[in-house]
Amino acid sequence: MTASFKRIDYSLRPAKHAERRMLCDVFRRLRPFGRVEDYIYVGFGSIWFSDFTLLHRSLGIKNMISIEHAETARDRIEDNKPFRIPVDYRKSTDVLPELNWSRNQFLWLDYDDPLSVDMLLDMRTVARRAGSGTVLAVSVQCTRAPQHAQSEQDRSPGGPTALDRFVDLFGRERVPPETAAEQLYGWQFGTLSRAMLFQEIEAELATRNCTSPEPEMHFQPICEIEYEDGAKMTTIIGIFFAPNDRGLVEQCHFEALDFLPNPLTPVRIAVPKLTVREFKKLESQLPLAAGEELQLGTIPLAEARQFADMYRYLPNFAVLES
Amino acid sequence: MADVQTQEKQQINAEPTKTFFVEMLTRDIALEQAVLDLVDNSVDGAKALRSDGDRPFEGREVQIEFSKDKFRILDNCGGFDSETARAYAFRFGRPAGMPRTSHSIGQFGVGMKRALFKFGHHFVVRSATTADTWAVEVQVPEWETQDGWHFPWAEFQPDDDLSNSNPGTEIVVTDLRSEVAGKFSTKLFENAIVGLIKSKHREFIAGGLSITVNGQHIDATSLYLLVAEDEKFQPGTDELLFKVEQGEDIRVRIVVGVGQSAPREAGWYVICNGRVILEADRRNSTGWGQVEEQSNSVIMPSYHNQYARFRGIVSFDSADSSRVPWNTTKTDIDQDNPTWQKTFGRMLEMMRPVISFLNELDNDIDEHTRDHSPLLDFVSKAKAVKSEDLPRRSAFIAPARGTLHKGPKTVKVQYSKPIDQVDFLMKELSTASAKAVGERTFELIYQRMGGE
Repeated sequence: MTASFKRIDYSLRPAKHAERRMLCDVFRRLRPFGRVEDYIYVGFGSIWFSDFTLLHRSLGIKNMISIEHAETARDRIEDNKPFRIPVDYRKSTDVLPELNWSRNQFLWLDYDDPLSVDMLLDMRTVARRAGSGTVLAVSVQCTRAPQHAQSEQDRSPGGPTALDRFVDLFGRERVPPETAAEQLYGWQFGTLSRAMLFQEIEAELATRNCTSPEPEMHFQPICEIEYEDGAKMTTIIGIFFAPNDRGLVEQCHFEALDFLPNPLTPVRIAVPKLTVREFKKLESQLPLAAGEELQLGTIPLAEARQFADMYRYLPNFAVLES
Repeated sequence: MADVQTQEKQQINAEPTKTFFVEMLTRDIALEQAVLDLVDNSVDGAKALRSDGDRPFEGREVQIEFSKDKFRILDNCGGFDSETARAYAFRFGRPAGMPRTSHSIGQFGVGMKRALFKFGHHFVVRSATTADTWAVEVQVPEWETQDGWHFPWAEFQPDDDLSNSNPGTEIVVTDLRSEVAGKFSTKLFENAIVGLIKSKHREFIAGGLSITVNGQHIDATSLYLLVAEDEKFQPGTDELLFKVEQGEDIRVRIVVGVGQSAPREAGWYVICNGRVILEADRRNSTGWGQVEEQSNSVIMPSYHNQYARFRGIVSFDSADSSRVPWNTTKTDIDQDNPTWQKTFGRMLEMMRPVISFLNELDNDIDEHTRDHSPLLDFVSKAKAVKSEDLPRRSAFIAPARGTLHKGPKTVKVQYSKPIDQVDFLMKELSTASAKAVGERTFELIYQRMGGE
């Protein structure tokens, strides 16, 4: 597997940019659990550290750890990293158990790859230890399950299908029995991946809660996101909390996050294709007051709507030409 | 006074405490298996009512529901009468003289009680036959402190689920143990139960028994083996009959062959009276990695992924369920069972030619690659047949390597190159994989050097 920074220029991923800002909004709402700057941010910084830069600049987060398994890129990463961020050059599976779990964490496990067993084991590692107030965000690629490529490569007629291989890899406990072959493609695969991430956390919490003398721990989903800059990606975000802190979770008012659709469904980040002039024209009319409508002119309605839904999170791009 | 004292001195109290009993009984079984035990009881009810034909359990239903608060199983499999309940069903262990269901799968007389105690602290069992109805309700912690080993009757109220005209049994457990409540509330546990029932009770589901878990209907699955139409390739099958002096005969059917390549499905399946005991077993106890003790030579290799196509099925059937080789939790074979020991030798004999063939297949793929192996091509074209549709007795037949038509002799070329260079060529040659880069560059240089 080639490190993803060799394939993608992170600074040119508008949907990812929007997602990053959404996570920042979630982070900002954690005040009831204490000062957000006391949280430890744990992410996969790659060589770009875009999420780290955003959180440091806008929220003042200072305790940050980047996990990076591409040991071979060490020199380049050390050269690029801002704000003296410590980078742990091991796999997340090895690093996560060693984090300081007595403190609140904001973890964004932004995997580049499709769902794997290792990722599910990471869910368990976190769910086993997370304290009340710890937030977990997980992103996985969901263009299509790699088992499709395997079954195409095999080419023997009557050989195991992609779904057979998928169940074989994850085990029948993890793959809901009603799963159909088309659920290994695209957004449906995203839905399945999210369900499998959630159920792994749920299962670990059930074990933790029945054996631990400490108070119970719950996990409440905050939102689910789908986006695409080339590859389809999906994200889950949720918060761990003890029953006594339920009130604190309510005070965070996650339901009031600007980007959440009403009724609550997964957020689909769509980046509208607009000219700079159109951008400005729409921006001057936003936010819309109740009952008001956008003056579109020649701007296509669909693009304008996408813009109105997402404009707070979208990047402003400018191409500098001499 | 003196008499009583002497008596007390003479008699040493060795009566088990109920608490000890409950704890011991519930520890030796996994939660999943305890749920299956209750399904087994319903299946026995259905067996007693079975009709003739392909789908003897048509119309019989088992509904299972569980959550963090409650476990419930309801069937319409005939129920059992209050006399059976009074004298046998709640006894710990099967009393002598108890009438047996022919070919039963719940024969040890512990399954239901063990499950009830394992799940929680309060249970209600209700049952209706065409002529009788009864109910039992027990608060386990209270019962543990009372003298005597009796369960109290409760009042039976007929309803839509159970009555004389709709006979069956319902078990409800509440006040669940905390670790059980935790598991019952997870999707993973639900998936596990569905998966287990699907495989362990596959014969009964295929026979028309309807089972739902939390409202979800479970479909039947079958084991498939590959067969070629021209009889060049077919599974080995055999039937054995063991007579016993007293009691019922045991019928054994063995099927070995080749299936699709699926590591999790490969291995031996052991079935007792229709209930799957072992699935895809690859341990020494089913023959893998057998070493001949005297000479220390390997008679059967240990499982390895090149055997991912191996399928072996051995079914034992007897009207007397104590004769078939299962352990009390129905999770493994009883290796000391004489029928198992006699069958085991035949299993190894039948397994050997399949293993040899799979070794040949592996060699053929090694020589020709997956794309060009004639043997793999042949196997891939065979059609999958349900194990129950195979003939009663036949030898395993498979083509020998080299007998199939093949192209020119090939050799595999393998090398490693820096990723950047491979990526560069992948782009320049518009190929999708490193393997394709290797093949395309070989073809190009072959042409350039004047090869034909």
